[in-house]
Amino acid sequence: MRSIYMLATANIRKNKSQSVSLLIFVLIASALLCVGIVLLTGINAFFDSKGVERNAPHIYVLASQDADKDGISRYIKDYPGVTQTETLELVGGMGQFTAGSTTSTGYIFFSRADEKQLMDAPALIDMGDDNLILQGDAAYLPGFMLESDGGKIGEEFQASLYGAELNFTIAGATEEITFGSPMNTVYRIYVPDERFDEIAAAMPMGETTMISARLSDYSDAEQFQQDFSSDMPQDGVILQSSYLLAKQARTTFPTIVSILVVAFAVILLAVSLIIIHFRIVNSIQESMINIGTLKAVGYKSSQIVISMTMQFGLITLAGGILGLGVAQVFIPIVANILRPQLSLEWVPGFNPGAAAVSLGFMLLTVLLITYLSSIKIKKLHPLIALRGGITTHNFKKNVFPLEKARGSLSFLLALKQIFTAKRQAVMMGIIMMAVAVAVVMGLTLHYSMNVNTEGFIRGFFGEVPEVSLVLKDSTYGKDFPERIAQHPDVRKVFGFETGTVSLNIDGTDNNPSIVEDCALMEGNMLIEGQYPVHSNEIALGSSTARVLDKGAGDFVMVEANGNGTEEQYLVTGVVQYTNNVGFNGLITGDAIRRLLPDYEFYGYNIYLNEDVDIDSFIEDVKAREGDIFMSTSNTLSMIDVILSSMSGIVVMVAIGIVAITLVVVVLALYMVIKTIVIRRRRELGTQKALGYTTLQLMNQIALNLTPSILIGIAAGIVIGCVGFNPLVAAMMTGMGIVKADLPLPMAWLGTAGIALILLSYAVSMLIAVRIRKISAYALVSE
Amino acid sequence: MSNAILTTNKLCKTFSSGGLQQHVLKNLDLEINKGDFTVIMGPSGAGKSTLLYALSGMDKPTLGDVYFGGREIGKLSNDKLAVFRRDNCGFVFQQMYLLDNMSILDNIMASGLLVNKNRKAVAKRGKELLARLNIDEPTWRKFPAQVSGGEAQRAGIARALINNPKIVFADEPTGALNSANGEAVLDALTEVNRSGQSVIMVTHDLKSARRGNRILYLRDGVIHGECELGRYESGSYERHDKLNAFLSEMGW
Repeated sequence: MRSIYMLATANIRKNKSQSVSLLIFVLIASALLCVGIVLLTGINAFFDSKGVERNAPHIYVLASQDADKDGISRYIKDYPGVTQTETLELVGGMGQFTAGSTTSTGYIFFSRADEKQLMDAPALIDMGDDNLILQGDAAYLPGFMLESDGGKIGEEFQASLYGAELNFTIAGATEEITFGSPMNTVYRIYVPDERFDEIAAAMPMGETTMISARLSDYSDAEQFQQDFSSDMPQDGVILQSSYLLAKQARTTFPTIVSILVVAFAVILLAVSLIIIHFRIVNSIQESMINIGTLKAVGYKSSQIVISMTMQFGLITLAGGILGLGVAQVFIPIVANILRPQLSLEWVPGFNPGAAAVSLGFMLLTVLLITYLSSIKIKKLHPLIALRGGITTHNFKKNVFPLEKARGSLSFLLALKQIFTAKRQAVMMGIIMMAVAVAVVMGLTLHYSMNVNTEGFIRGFFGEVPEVSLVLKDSTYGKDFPERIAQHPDVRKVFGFETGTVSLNIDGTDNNPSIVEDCALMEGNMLIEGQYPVHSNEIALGSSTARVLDKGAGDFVMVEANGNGTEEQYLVTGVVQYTNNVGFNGLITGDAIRRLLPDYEFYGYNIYLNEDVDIDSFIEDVKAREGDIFMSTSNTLSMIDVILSSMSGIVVMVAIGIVAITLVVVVLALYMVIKTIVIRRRRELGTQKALGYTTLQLMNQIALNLTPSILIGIAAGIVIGCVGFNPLVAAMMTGMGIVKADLPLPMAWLGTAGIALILLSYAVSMLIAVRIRKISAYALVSE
Repeated sequence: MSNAILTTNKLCKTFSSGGLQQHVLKNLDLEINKGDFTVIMGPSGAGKSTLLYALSGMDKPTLGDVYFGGREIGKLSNDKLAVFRRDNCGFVFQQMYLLDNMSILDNIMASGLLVNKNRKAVAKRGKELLARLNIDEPTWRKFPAQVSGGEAQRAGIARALINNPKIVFADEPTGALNSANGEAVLDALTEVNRSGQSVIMVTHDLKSARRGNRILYLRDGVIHGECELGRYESGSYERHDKLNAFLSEMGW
C-alpha cells in the first residue's frame, strides 16, 4: 500500500500545476454543492423554526369597520383545529411609502409598539446601539426597508394613506413572519401609543381588526381559507391569508436560487469529471513506458489502477475539504443576499450533513470516473507499454492532405491535430457547451428580471392593469365602470377579481379570476386553447388541469363557495398565473352567475393611456369618487417592489455564474493546453526546428481548440435558448407555472458567445506562449 | 576570399542545473566550408550534438558568436532564428521526429509550405525528393508509424531538403537504423553533398564518418583534432585507413 501511495503522490508532484487546477475545479464544485444543499434543505426548516419561535399565526383575517368582526371572530374560534386566537387593533390600508430612495406600494398597517402580542410579536433587529427610543414620530419599519437604499435609522420616512401624508423618523427595524415581506406587500409599522391614536383619529376609515389564530396543523390553513370564503360574508374583509402563503411567498424564490446553485455545481462537477477523465487518459499515454516498467518489475494492474484512483482521490479530498471551508464563508453571504426575499435574518451554521453529502458525492463520482478511465491499464500488455503503446497509433486516413486541402498552413495543421485528438476536441466542446449553457441561463435570467421585465410580469403575474380598484360595496359598481371610462386618462376598464370566490372543480379547490369580458384582457395567461366567452365555459388553472388531466374540450362539474349548486362547464383552455399555486382558473361574470346569481363585481382593472402618472390618477379618482374604495392599487408599483427584491438576488446569481464560468474557461483551457504542450512537446520542437515561429505554433495550438470551442459555445447557446424557458417553468411548477415565455436577449447572447470565443482564443494564446521560452533543441531533446 | 559558410568565435555553451554549471562547449573557434561534408565525432558527452545545434541556430550559445555567411546568428530572436533555419538549414534527427499525425508527403510539405506558398510546386518537389530517395509512391500516403525506420529516415532527409537548404545538419542519422537502411541514408546524404549542399553530421559510427571529407574530433568541449579525408569514393581503403589512424591518435 505504501508503494501505491508513493506512486500516487509522485504523480501529483510531477503534474503540480495541473493537480492544482483540478483541485480548484473540485473546490469550486464542492463549495457550490455544499452552499446549494444547505440552502435547499435549510430554507423551509429555518422558516418553520422561526414560525414556532415567533408563535406565528397560521391564519389571519384583516377586517375593516364595515365587516362583521364579532361573527368572524366567533367563526375562527369555533373552527376545528384552532388552538389559539388573538385580536389586535390596527389602522391603515392601501398606500404608498417612501424610505430612502425607494417608493413602494402596498397595504400599510400601523400597530401599537407597546401592545402585548401573543403571536408574531415584533422582533427588533439588532442594530447595535443605533436603535432610537420609540417616542414622538419615531417608528419601527419592516427590516427589508432598511436594507440596500431603503433608508437608515434616524432618517425620515413618509407614508401616504387616504390622501394624507404621514412623516416618521426611522427608529429601528423589525422582522416578522406574517407581514413585512416585499413578496406579499403587506407591511406593519410599529408606532408609540400616542402616535397610533393620532393616526386612528385622522383616518377612521382605516381602522382595522386583525383576527389571527394558530392551528394544530398549519397545513389545514388552506382548507380554512376556502371554508371562510364560502361560509362567511366577505363584506368589509380586507384580506385573509395564512402562514402557508407567507412561507410560500418568501421561500419559493430562494428555493429556485438554491436549485440554480446546485444545478450550476452539478455542471461544474460534470466539467471536472470530464477533465479528470481527460487527464487520466493522457496520464496513461504519457506514462506508458513507466506503466510498462512497473508491470515489468512486478506491479499488478490493479495496483497501478489504485494508484491512479488514489492520485485523483487525494486531489478531490483536498479540494473537497477546502471547498467545504469556502462554503462556510459563502453560506452566510448567500443567506444575506436572500434576506430581502426571506425578510428574516438567517445565519446558517455549519451543516455536517450537507458537508458530508457534498464531499461524499464529489469523492464517489471522481473515484468512479477515475476507476472507469484507468481500467484500460489492465488490458495493456507490458511489452506494448514499454514500446510507448505504439500499437495504439492507428491512423487510417490522412485528413486534409496538404497537397489538396485549402487554407493557411497553421489552420490545416490545427485541423489535422483535431482529427488526431478527437476525444480532446469532443471534451473541449462539451466543456464549452456546459459553460455557454450556464452563461445563457445567467444572462437571460438577469435580462428577464432586471432589463426587459415585461415577459416576466405578463407571464407570471397574470393580468396586470395599471390600476386595480376594489369597491367597498358592489352597489357603487352599478354606474362606476361607465363613469370611470369617461376619465380622459382611462383607456379601458372592466370588472376583474381574483380569489373572491372559491370554486370546487371536479373535487379540486380553486380560487379563480372572474372577468367581466376576457376579450378585453391584455395579459399572457393562456397556455392552451382559448379564453372562456359564454356562460357555460371556464378556463382551468395549470395545476387544476394537471391534477384533473383535463384540457380544452373537456367538461367539468363546478360548485361555488360550497353552496351545493353544481353546474357543468366546458373547458375552453388552460391559464397560468402564480395565485394559489396554479389552482386558479378563469371564468366570466355571466358564467359565475349560473352558480351565484347575485354575484356582482367589487374589483375593477383600469388601464391608462400612455405616460399617465398612475399615482396622480389614483388620487384624482379618489377625490372625484369619494370614500367608495376598499383599496386602490398601483399594480405596476406593487410588482416593482416584488421584482426589485428578486432582481438584486438575480444580479448576484448572474454575476456569480458568469465569474465562475470565466474561471472554468481559463482553468479548462490551461489544463488542456498544458497537456497538449507536454504531449506534443517533441512534435512542437520538431516544427520549431524546421522553422515554424513561436507565433505560428501558438496559433496552431489555439486554432486546434477553436473549432470545438466554437461548436461547443454555439451548441451551448442553442441548448440554453431552447432549454431556458422549459427550465424556468420546471423550477416554477410549484408556483403553478407550467410554461414560460421569457424573452431571450439574443444580442446579449450573441455578444457573450463571441466574447467567450475571443476570450478562449486569447487565453489559449496566452497559455501557449510558454513554448516561446523553450528552444527548439530543448523541445526536441527533453 | 574565405569559403566558410559557418564560423564560430569563442563559442561557449554552459548548462546550469540545481546551482551546478556544466561547460559543454569551451571557446570553440571553427570554420565550416561551403560544400564540405563535415563529420563531428567524439566520445559520449563530448558536446557533439550541442555543437551541432548551436551551429544550426537550434540553440543559442552562452557566450561567443556563430556566423552564417558572415551574419551573426547567435543573438537573433527565437522567431528570427526560426526563419533563418527554414531558409537555410535542413535537419535530420536520429529519432526522425516525423509528425505522427501526418502522411509522409504531408510531413515534407509541412516544411516546404513554410517557405514556398505554391502548394503544387511544393508537392511536386516533395514527390521528386521522395522518388530520388527511393521511397515508392504508395509509401508517400502512409503515416510514419506504418513505414520502416529506413524509409522514415529517408523521408526525414527529403524533409530536410525540401527548401533547398544551404546546409544540412544530421544528428546520428543512422543511430536507430539497421545496416542496410543506414547505408541507404548515408548514400542519400552523400548524394546531397555531391549536389553542392554542405552537410554537418554528428556520428559515433566509423562507417558513417567515412562519408565525410573533414572529420572534427571533439572532447570535453574543445576540438582535439581534425582530419582531411578527401571526397568519398566507394571502396576507398586509403580513406578508411587514414580515418582509423586519426581516431587512434585521438584515443577513440
